[in-house]
Amino acid sequence: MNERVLVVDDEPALRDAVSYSLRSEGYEVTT
Amino acid sequence: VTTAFSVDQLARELESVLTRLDGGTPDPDALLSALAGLRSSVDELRVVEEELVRQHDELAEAHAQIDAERRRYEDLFALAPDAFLVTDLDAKILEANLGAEQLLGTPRRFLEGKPLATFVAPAWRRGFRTMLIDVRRHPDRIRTQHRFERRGGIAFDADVSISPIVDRGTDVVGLRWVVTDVTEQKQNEARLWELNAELERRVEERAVAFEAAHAELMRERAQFETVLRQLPVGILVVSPSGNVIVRNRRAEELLGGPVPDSAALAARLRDADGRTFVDGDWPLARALESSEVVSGEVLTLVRADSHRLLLEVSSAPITRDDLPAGAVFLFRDVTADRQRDFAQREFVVNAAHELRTPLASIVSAIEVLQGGAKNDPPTRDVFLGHIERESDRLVRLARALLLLARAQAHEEEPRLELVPIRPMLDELTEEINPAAGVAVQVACEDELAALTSAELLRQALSSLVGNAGRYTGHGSITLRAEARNGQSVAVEVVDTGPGLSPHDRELVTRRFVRGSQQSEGFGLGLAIAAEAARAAGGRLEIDSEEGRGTTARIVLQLARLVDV
Repeated sequence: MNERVLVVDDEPALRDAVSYSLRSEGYEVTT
Repeated sequence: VTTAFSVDQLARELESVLTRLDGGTPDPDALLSALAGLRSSVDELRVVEEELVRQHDELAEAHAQIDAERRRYEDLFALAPDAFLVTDLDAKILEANLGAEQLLGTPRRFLEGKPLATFVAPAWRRGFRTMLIDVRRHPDRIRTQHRFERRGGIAFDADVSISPIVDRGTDVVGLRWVVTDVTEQKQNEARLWELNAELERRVEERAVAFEAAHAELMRERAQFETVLRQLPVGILVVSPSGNVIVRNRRAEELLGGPVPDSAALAARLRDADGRTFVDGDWPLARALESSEVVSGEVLTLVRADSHRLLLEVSSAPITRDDLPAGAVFLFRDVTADRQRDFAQREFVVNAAHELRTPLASIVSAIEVLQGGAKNDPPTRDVFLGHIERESDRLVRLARALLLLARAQAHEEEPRLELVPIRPMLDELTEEINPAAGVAVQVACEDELAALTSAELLRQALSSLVGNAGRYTGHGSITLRAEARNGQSVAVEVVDTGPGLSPHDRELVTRRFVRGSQQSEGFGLGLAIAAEAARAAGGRLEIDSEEGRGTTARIVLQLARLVDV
């Protein structure tokens, strides 16, 4: 099972960018 | 008398002797007796004769003395420097001395027998004769002045003393004259008068010049005092001993209390690091003691009321005739300048932060797209959407910064005009794009107006209205204006949005009222509103309660529209 990461940022654009990059590396991302 | 008697007696005795002898034969006894009588008479006569001889000698001696004295007086009369004359009652000259000879320029032998009047200047002769008549009527000593003319027509003024010569008690038989040339004296007197007049004229000239100079000085002083009073700079002039001798109104305002001397002022000042000054170390003291000119140092003034001001100070020594005559101390309140500088620096920091956030989002989105997302249409659209939104945000920010810069540029010279409030509020409602179900209202008297800048006020309100529209999800937005205390007008944007937490409200307040470094996360909207309100001659206030809404208020100078 992949490791899960919680991403928190008040800027939606940054949140989406970080989430996308982490998912590409195989992490499961929750925002 | 004794002599006469003795000679008579001898003669009678001799007669009686002869008579007896004439009578016949002389009686020898009688003859003897008669001769004895004669002899005794002759003896007596001899005594008398001796007495006579003695008296004669005494008389001769007395006469010699009188004669010597007479000669002495004669010499005096002849040689005295003044002119002595003896005349009869008609002033015909009987005797004249050497002085008279010289004074009248005529030898004595020609003087004697001549009327003195011939030596009186023609114009003065009538007066001279009148005087003679007076003298004859009232013989008395007279002292007077006449103008004479010596031979050759040279006139001179003379002092004349006349005393009557009285014979046997009452009869006036002649006049004695002493005539003194006073021409030189007169000339000296005239010269003295001239000098006196000259002196008076000069004194007068000097007085006039002095008065002109004084008037000029007073005018300059009045100008100087006016300038001094009106200058927006505090000015103190201190004496060499440090006492304040001149201070202007601004100085009193800034110092906020009595500052009698240099030491009292020094005690109130702190250097750039907040330290007190030791003796002689601060600008005015340096100007006083070492003639140093200090320009533009910034010091802190701690007033008696504990209020602190930042002062930019300058000081310079005053010299008079190259000698120290005190010093002048100039100071300007730069507190507001410094606060504004500080606020502007803070503003730039905040603006940079505001710009960095959308830029970071855009850069991230581009990295994601280039990293492969561009090949996945749904993901690509999401990030393109982010780029579009953040770009819009940058455009808004750039415009806001431009408006703010203009507002601050206007601050130098706010052009105030009469601005009716109601039409502006009505226009602003058009800008609001409210969420579904949010009501927009205007509450304002028609004639309400403010003294402000229409353009700046509109920018400020536009920013506030934009915030209200963005954050209000339900309820209403009200644009309201009302007069307060007859002096100001409050224009409010009241929303029923989420409101600000006390912490956020504190940040807003500190950021725009005092300048704080902890204003990260806040948009520039309120900054623009606050700056524009200030440039428009007003101030921004924020009332907010979390969960109930926010009231943003701009307070302006009241005016009213009056129908003419």
